[in-house]
Amino acid sequence: MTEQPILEVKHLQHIYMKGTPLEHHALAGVSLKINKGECIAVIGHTGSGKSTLIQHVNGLMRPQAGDVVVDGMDLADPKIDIRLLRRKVGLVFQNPEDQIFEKIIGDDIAYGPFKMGLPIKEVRDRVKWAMELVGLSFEEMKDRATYALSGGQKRKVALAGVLALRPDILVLDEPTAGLDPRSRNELLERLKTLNKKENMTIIFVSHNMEEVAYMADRIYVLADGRNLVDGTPEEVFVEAEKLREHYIGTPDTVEILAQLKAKGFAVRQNAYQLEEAANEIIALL
Amino acid sequence: MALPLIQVKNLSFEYAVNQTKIPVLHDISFEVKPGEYVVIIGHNGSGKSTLSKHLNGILTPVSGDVVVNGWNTKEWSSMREIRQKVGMVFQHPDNQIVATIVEDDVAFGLENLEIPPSEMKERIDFALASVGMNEFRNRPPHYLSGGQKQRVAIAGVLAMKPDCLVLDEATSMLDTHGRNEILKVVRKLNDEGMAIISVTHHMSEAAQASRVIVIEKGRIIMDGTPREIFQQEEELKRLHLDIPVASQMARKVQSHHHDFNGTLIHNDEIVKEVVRLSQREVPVI
Repeated sequence: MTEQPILEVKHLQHIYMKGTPLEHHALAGVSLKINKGECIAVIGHTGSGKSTLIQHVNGLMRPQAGDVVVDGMDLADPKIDIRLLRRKVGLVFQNPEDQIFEKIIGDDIAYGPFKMGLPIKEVRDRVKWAMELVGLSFEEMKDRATYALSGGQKRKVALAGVLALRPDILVLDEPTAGLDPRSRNELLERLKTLNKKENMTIIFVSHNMEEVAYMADRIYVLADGRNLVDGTPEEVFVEAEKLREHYIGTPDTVEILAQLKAKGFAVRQNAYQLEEAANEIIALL
Repeated sequence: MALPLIQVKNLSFEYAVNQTKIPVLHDISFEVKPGEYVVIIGHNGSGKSTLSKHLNGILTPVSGDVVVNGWNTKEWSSMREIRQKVGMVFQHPDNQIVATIVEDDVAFGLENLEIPPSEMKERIDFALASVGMNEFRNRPPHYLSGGQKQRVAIAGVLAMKPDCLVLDEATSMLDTHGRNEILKVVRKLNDEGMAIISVTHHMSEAAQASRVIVIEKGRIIMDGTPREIFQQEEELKRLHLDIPVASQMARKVQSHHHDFNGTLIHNDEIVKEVVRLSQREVPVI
């Protein structure tokens, strides 16, 4: 079956401050092909072009060269319905707490669905659904003030605001930075459910390799604005050397196995799940 | 026995929001000795950032005392000395960097202390060398990576020659590489005798400390070496926390292989343990 990818990026280039002495190639020919319902991680060192790339997905940036096609919409075409695109693609920024502006939590989350012109009952249902999804109790939290929240809670509110739009593609830039381990695990769990049960396509940028190993069906690794490697976590983490050269770490599990391998032990270096990695060691003893 | 550098005595604190008081810290007492490396962990909203802001008088107790090197933080007259003894680095380096050239930024605090120019140069050289940023001294900070900016922020604090460095989630916005850069600097400073107090969500970072304090609902509920703390996996999970990947692996392997040491907390310890056990494999008769 030849399925139409929900997002296709071909040879995308972007130059900041083009034509000035400060000209900088943020993207120098990146390609991605993502099918509906996939969970994709984009990783790379600071400055590798990850953030520039994901800002293209909902049309915040338009391709200077190359193609970006989202569910049949060609972003190079200036006449596309940008509102429709933004409804399809929900983008959560790196410091989502900055995107909170209402005084009351419930109002902030309702803003998007309300602007979509949904009936009030539907808006309420969506707010409730989104809040429960990120782990905020609707009854308890909807009338609380947004400014008296901790950093982690603000993050959840901002994420709920985007989820309430029920996008087809959810794009997240560092979704768990600054969350405590349990909030992080719960959020990842919920995103995974959303991905598997509701078939929402998820694209996320992360520095946390444990998180990438847990979540991603496939990984795209960027370096200097180009594709470095891509594939399943097994395929990518086996390239530990190459990743390290570009200042990208691997999960601790892979790290430990790599050290063992360097000492001459016969281990599979890409057994990145904790259970598997522990089994590799048990098999040695 | 060394005198404590920081004494926290029955500290309680509450935030006042619209006449209502929100209690955050309850009757907290602990001491930090010169040269100690203390990590504070706790889930989002547990009060750990509020606690860290008490350590150099950014916040002062509602009841109880914080005494730095003999000065009570409630005494305004000694605030200058306290801030000089205990330097603070926050989550976002952008909030802490004020000048347009790295060198000037590091000099900022010194100018306020009216340090003579010759000594100022000496201190800036020392501070930038300590964090490995000497070659960037004439660069504008906004062109640096997150990890580099955070190192500049640390240099600004080091130039004041503090006895204690407080890091409030200083690595949580950084990638693995950036985080390792900071941890290396912090470890070096600690080796040279500076006391470190670090608030973090990264359990592998906590494993490096000499002591871990766990905060829950504004109270200290555990205080011990990382090895002691990370044996209590169930309790930590209940508190929304976690144990390092290395500990998880050690425990998994131990459950199959009783000789394997289950109290390991670092990646390289796991490797050493495997080497130790495999060398012993010669049948003993």
